[in-house]
Amino acid sequence: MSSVTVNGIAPGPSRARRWLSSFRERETWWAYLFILPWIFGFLVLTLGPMIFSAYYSFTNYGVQQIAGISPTKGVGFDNYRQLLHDPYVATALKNTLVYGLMMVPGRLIFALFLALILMRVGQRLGGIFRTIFYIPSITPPVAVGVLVLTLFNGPFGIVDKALGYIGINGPYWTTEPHWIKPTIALMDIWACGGTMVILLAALYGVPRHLYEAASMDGASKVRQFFNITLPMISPALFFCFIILTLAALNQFTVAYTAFFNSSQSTATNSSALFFSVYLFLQAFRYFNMGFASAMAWLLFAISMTITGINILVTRRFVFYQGGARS
Amino acid sequence: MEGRRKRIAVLLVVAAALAAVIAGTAGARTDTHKAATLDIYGYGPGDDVQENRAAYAAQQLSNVTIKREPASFDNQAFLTRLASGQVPDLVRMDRPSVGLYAAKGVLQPINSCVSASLIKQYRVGAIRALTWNGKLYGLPEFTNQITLIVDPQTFQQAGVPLKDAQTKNLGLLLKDAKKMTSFDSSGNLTRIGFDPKIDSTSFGFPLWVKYFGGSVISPNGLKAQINTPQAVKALQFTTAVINAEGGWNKFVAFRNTFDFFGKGNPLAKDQLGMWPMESFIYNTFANNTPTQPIDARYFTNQKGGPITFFSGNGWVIPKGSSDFADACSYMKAVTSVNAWLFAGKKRYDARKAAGQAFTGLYTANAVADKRLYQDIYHATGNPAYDDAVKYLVNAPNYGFELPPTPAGAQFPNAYNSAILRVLTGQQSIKAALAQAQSEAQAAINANK
Repeated sequence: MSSVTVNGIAPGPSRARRWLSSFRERETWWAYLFILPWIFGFLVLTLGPMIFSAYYSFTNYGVQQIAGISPTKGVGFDNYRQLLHDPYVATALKNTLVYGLMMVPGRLIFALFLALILMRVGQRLGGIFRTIFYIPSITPPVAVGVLVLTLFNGPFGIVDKALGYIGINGPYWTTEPHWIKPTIALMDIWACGGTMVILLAALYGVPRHLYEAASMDGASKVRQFFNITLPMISPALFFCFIILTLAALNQFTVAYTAFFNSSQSTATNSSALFFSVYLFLQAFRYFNMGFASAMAWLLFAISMTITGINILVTRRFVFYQGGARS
Repeated sequence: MEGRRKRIAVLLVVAAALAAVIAGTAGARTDTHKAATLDIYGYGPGDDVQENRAAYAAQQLSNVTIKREPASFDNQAFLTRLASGQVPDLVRMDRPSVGLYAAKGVLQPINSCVSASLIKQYRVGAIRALTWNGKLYGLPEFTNQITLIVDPQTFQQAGVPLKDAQTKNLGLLLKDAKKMTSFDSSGNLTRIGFDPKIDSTSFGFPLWVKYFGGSVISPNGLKAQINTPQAVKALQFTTAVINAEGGWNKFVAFRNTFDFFGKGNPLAKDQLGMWPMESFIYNTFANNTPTQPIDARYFTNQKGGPITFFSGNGWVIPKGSSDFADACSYMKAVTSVNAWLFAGKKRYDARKAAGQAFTGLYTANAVADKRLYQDIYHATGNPAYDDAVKYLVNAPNYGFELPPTPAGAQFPNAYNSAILRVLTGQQSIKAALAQAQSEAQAAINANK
């Protein structure tokens, strides 16, 4: 039997053959031409360093090797074993995960809240408020890091002063160890403009007739929100959730600027020691490049695992218009 | 066929462009130094003193083209240059970094080009910080020494006699610190009596351990001494001061509101009674609040003897430097007595023309310091600053600096983390210092 048929239909050309045959079309060539700069950048600036870091994670690469004084030697899995024995790796991972658990849902909820408000205020006012809400997103993270220390400076900061007006004694956000991660999470939630714009676009895409039909059936606004709005924007929510989770795992600039700048007396604050910060310290302050490379691959593995779990778990909650995702 | 030819032509153009980019990049990586060009890294554009010293040094090497990369020293950039083979001929870096790079064999000893008599010109403490395994790896530049800065108005307002501005008698110091500290009706600090600066990552802990007669590291830089009885006492006393002044949270929140570099500095606002600090601040205060009363004192040990902690930069020659002789000549010229006098005179003239005070330059070259004081410095007419200058001129005689350690930044990070854990109440003093000792020693062992 030379060919196999399923349900009596002859199989089409293989995927590889289809891909190859697409090069007969002029558009395919143009398409590849346009994405060539990106491919070049990906190969040289992303994939290349990734391959190098994978190699270095199994070596003793450090200052002497960089300077060409000593040869780079293989150390097997020593750097990966050290990940298990270095207590700061566990601290940094815990800090990063705790921060992520606060920042990701917080930002999604706050961004959705703002997007819902913007939906209601009309086009003209909406434009103004959209700009206002988006401004924090374009504030450079370094500036946000500096702002953290000013806004959250205990009773002398604006945040505690504002809380004081409603009778709340605010904490010492930047010095009490257990308040440091919520502080950084709050600053990231504040800069939710990008997420808000994506969710706003998704909200505009929800067909109006669904709400009209639901209203005629007597559905309350709350019911409409949970039964129409959320399912209809769930792909956008899911996208934001994945992106924000990855951003949380890579938190660096705000924490580093606020707490690890060498001029800060808090420069060694383990409460703000996020995984990327510790990775940076190992690589560029302590020059343990091999170990830092192993840390980078651990972070990559964690990111992929969490993303995979997210996709599996959230797949059943995401509603794609036009049918189930293939 | 025509379309196919076009596609091939487009592809060839793109491939050629990519090849050109790659070839250009590769060319940059293998770029070699031109003859008689001295490539200096870490000495980018700076203030008038820096630029005038650079001009003086360039004059001394008139047959050499000086190329100064417009950047301050940065470990990442330096390592990138080493990795790419673009090794600078001469580098200026902070002195604590020299130990790490010397221990790793990245730097060249300079004993062959610097005479013993010339070395004697420089401060002993600063030279020690650049000496590893008996070999000298660089020449020191500035010496930012620590003195006690006193706000006489705060003492007066709190009813504390100015003669109490001292660190010899710790009981009295703690009592006066409490007396000068004040709070508002909400319990927030409005004035700190004495800031021991134990959390200063640049000098706090080593200075206080020295106060009690210890050192945080052995003279050869290979043994951490962070959990010694002297270290415990240092942290016990300074923590007690901060706790007596409201505790770490209140203390640091209030201190973070200070504007040290503006007209509303802690002296002008009477926010701080007394604190140890680097010498550069006198210059800042003299220019921003020249009429504000200020007093200087030595930071003394418990026997009353002055001590000060040095910090500053050093000039080094990396292995792979293509012009060792000129690099050494330049570093000698830029840290020479004449270079400092040249820059000092220019600054004095500029300050005088602007009607501002010149409070001197404090260098790692002891001969230059003496000449600057004798030949260039003129009393400002403000007794407070003139008096302070006398302390600053003499303080370097009592200076010490940490010996180089192969652990690099991991060493101070170990004890600074411990201090923060104690101040934030996360760990007891003994437990924190024991942990720091173990971390610091592990870092030394891993890098030696």
